[in-house]
Amino acid sequence: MGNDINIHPLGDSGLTIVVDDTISPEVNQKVLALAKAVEQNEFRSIIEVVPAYTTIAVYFDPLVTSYDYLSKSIHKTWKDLEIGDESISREEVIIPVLYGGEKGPDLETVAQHNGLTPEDVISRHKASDYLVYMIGFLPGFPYLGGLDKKLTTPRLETPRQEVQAGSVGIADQQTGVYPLDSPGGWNIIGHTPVKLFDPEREEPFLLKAGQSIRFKEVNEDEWHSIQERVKRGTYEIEVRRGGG
Amino acid sequence: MSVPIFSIKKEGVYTSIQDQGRYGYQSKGVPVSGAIDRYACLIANHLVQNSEEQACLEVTFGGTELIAEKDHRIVICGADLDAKLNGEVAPLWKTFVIQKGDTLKFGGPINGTRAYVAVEGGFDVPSYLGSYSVYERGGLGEKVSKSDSIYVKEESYTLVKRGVVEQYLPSYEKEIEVGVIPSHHHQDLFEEDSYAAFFETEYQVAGGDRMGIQLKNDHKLRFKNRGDILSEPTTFGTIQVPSSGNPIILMADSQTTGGYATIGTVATADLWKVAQLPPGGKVSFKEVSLDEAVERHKEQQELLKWI
Repeated sequence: MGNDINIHPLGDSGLTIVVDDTISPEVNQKVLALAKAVEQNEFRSIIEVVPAYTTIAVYFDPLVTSYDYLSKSIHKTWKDLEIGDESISREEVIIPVLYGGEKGPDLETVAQHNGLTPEDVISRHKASDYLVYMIGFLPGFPYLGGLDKKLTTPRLETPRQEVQAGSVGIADQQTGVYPLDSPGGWNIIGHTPVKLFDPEREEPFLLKAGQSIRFKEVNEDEWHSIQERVKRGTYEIEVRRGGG
Repeated sequence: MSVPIFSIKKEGVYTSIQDQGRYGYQSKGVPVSGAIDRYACLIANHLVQNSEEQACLEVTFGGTELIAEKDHRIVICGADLDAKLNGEVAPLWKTFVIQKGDTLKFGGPINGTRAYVAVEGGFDVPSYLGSYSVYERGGLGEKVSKSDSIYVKEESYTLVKRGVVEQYLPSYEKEIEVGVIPSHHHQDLFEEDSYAAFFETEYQVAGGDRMGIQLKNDHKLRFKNRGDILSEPTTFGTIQVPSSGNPIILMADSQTTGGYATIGTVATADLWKVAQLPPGGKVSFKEVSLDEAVERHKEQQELLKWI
């Protein structure tokens, strides 16, 4: 691979690999490819690998392996790493959203802040492809890239005590979906009945880093129907493959 | 065979089932969780001859009252929360046998903040994503509530007496010094004198929970420019510094990634001291090398074999 990576201790049982210092889909691709390679090469001696925007944490038991050994080995893995087309995920996960109304109380705020109509906000929000850069902060919470710059809106001055799971929000240059009921300061523009995290489900996590998502507008009837099917466990998430 | 061992008469401040942590899901945003004082939970399991992965009941501060539903051998390790068995002082760091109908009551903190109850055979509790540890915020189990019943895996128990000898007992101080392995942010993000002062001043515990401990003192950490970073991985012991300049030590329920600058991560061998630090307690930090931190962690694990 091209530029060099830097490795630093993260306490005595972890290390941080710094792959780059700016966010981009290309950097993210390198991060995910390296994370996967490290996971495969070091599976005997490590506990887990956590990729983020431009960095990766590798956790290990210092009684089993050492920082020095792993650093050397990871540098080598990086040197030998080849990033081909096959590591680009072509999956696009479709998230149905009911925009505005009770479920999207801040749609108007986002529109006003950007000099748009609520309809403009919706059409811009659903027009973009969003890359899942990383999952973090809360179980299943995706950090998404690709928000239309015209939708940039600062966080609420006073966060809400409780934001409902499934709420779709905008904070600064980011958009996201709350995987759980949680306090939060994002501008809520809509809601999806789809669960990003469900510990009872066979696959508890809907998304993984490297995938893309697209929001699809649904009306109230469709929203209710999807919610019913989600509850019964019969809703099939729409995944488009081979796009790109 | 699963049998009830305790019913909950009073839930207390915060009591939950915890083990040595949930690994393998941090890349999905799921915190590791587990006993805040891993060491005390581990010793508790050792003393009742359980395997390490068995769960303990983590009692925070006290106020918790348990009624024994059967005769069984148990142990309490960790903080002295003024535990009383039928009104008499209950043994700490020593196994004992409870009898059906007994009341085990945790009054309040005398020394330390978190006590761990282990039962021979292990608690029979639900496991979520491969761990018994309760992480309520993520919908992974619930804390203990009034009139809950807690089960044990084995009906039978032995009368083996085991305990930790005096010289190996950890002592929970109200003023502690902990080792810190510096983060890669420290050279670039913090003002130099401000960074140096972090290691020279004492901090007071302003508040905290299973996720983190908030610290304060008059010295505010200052940044060269700004302290926000691209979110990157954080772990149990990572010291984050938000724009307020007051550090936060992330604990067992640490979020998996964070967007604040970090100054370092507490040495594993010192995490139990932080775990048992009471509100108002004081902590100072000492920079340690990676080798030193690993050496001390090894020594501590060696010691466990002797207990």
